[in-house]
Amino acid sequence: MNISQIEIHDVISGEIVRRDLNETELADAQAEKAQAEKDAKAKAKTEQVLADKRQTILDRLGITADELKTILS
Amino acid sequence: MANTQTTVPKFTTLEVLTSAAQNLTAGTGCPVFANATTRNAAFGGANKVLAEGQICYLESTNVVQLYDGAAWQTVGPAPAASSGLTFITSGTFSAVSQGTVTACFNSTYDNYKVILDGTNFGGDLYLIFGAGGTISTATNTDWATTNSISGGVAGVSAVNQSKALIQRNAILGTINIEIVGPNLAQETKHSVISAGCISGTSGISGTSGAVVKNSTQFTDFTIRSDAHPSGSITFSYRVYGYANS
Repeated sequence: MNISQIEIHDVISGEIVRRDLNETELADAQAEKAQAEKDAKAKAKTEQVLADKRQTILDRLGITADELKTILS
Repeated sequence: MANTQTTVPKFTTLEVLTSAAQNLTAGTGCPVFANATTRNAAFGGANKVLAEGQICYLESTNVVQLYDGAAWQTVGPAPAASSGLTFITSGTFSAVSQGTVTACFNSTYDNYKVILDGTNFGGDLYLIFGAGGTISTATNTDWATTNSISGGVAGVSAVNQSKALIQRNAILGTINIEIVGPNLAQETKHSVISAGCISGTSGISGTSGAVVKNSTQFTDFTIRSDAHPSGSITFSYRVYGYANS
């Protein structure tokens, strides 16, 4: 993974620090990213289950999603 | 007022210097006028020609002014904290995965405005608060966004997060963040209006908002790329404080 630098601007001192992430920050960032990817996958899976359920019902009714929208509009 | 004058005398060769004129010139140190109108009328004609470097004092607004050759500029005193929106700081972050501004929130103001001008937002962006140079990792931020974008991107939301989504997808764009009470011992809230474009071809605009559900008194904020610790974002920022009254 290509790791970028971070930058900190201190308003009081005017000091600007540009540096690499330290070990703790890097570990936190990677853990956060891994969690975000896990959450996204879980969300996509949930949405897919819902989509499958919708399609099952539509198939049972013998209509398409567009036809259902027309009925409900 | 005792020092108020209506002319800035100019003496010609062999002209009599009266005590009144001398007192007027030497007594005030710098010309004192009732207001900008009498100030403007006091220069030119038989009086001194207004020129760069001239100073004066205006009784109407209690300020010292300096003529820069084109216009009068107020030297001081600095506007009081109660005068409205006050500039606090500005800067630029270039090609980083996150940028942090520390010590920009304090007890002087309850509410703040932060304007971001991005030349490369790199996609989704997050806002995180911090205190004393330490970025908060507490998972107590609830946020939601709405978006209008070519092709459509649905609004999203989340609860109990460590950061708040403030911008979706845009590369080039602007983000206007209104922050309520970051340094108060209460929940910190913010609302966001953002606009930009994706790869220079599609437009996007959105609003978002969030509440940090604790009473931490924040002094800092961080803008983080969603690709952090990778990613590269480049933007400038300006921070202002809203007067409390």
